[in-house]
Amino acid sequence: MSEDMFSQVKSSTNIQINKQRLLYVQDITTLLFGLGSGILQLESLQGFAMFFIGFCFINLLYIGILCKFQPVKYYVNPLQEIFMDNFVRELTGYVMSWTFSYAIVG
Amino acid sequence: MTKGLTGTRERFQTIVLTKLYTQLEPKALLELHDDLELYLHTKDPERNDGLELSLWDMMFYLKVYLSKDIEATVIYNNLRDKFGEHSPNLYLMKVTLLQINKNDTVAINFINNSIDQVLEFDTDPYSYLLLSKRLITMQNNVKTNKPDDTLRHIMELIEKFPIDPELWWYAGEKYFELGLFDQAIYCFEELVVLMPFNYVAFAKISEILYLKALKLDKKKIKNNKELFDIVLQEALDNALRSVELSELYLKGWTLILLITKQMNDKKQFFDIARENLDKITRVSNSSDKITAEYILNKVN
Amino acid sequence: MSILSKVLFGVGIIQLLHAGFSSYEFHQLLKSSTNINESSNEQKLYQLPNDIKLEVFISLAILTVSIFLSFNKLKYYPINNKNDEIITEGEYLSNIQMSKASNVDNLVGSDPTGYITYLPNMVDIQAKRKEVAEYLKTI
Repeated sequence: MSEDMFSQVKSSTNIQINKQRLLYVQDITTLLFGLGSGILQLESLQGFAMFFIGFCFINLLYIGILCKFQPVKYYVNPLQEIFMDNFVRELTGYVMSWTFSYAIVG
Repeated sequence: MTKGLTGTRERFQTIVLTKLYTQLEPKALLELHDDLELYLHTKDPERNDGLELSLWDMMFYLKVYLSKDIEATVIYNNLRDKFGEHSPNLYLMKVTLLQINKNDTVAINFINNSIDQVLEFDTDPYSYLLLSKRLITMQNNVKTNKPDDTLRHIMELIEKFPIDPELWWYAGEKYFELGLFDQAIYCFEELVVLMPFNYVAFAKISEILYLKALKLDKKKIKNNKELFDIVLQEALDNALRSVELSELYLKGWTLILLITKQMNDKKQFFDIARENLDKITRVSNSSDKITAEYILNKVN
Repeated sequence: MSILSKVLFGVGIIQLLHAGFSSYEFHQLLKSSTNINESSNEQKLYQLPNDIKLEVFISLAILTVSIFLSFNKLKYYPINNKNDEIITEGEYLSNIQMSKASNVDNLVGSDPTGYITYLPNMVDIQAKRKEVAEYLKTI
């Protein structure tokens, strides 16, 4: 059992670095999408729909372009880390910029 | 091929973190000194304070090695004015300056006095450790010194600082120089207990075991063949662990190649080692490429 | 690549701001026109014009492209020979498997445990100075 563990050792610094890069991409894109939906004066369900579609689209682009369709090489639990870990954080960021630009434009 | 400021900075960062400058040859030291001088006088916005101080520390030692004593003293004075004398690295610099301006005896006395009066009671043990290491190095050069004395001092220091990896590595190297393979292996195994993912240490253990096995072969004792096989197998295990932790580690694959050549039933490992050495000749940096090619040609 | 990414980011932000301003103007007009009419029965719902919507989507697309373009393939600089080529594994992110992650050190030619292996605190300074002084005499 312990013999096998050595072949699965992960480098913790690189795990952190990859998480930071993902967070950077998700943060900026969701804030910008929030601005866009405020400019379009989207309301309730339409706005949240834009968030979900945008978030999933960005994550798929990330997996395709930066992870080259092999996210297992870079993340311990790719589905969980890319789609679920930062979900609430990005949602709150999106709502913040959405309401901000909605109020300014409207 | 201009690497620009980023390349230079990353290169210096690696050299200063791994303290490679202590092992360079004189020609490379000169080059490094000139490059570093140029870099420290260029503005680099991404050079943070920590890196800058480490680089000045490295610059001090480069100037000491190149016998530029006055410039080294200037650096020491600047740093001392900023941080005061009671900092571990500054203590070391002061001792170095005493060594070069006066002589080793004065420096040894200074360290002994510091230890007795200040550092024995100080809350930070790091200065004590660094100065004790420098003391041992200087005592090596004293005429009345024997190898046993060095080992005794190192073991005393290890009693006080059992988790310092450098001390265990030094002890292991000293035992290896004296030909006491089993004791050397024990020291490196202690190091591996402290740093379980240190693939360099695993390769070192493998190297010592391999040399122990080769030495066994020359003595003609009856049940030597079994012992030879056991030791070689252990050497192979350690070398395999080192490449398990680092895929393109040149020393690891070289050891596997050499060990499996001595064994009868490990053709598969021999082939894999050859494949990986071939990969290193294609992918790695120039000095590793040349070394790997040489090894492949020598073994075939 | 990062210059292109910065330029695209600037273009995207300007376009988004322009769309925002256009939308603001449109909604101001909408407010003033409904105030004049003041017939609550007629609820003419004017939609935001298509070109503003398109402008917003295109600006978001340009901004996304600029963010992805700001990532460069990771490059490693060999430390021993200055004339060596820059080594790249062609990846945008760092490998997390330890055996591959430590390849960076191997490719660059550095020993990451050098602060132990090279025994930097046990260097004999006098011997080193002599060695360098003898070399300097020969050149």
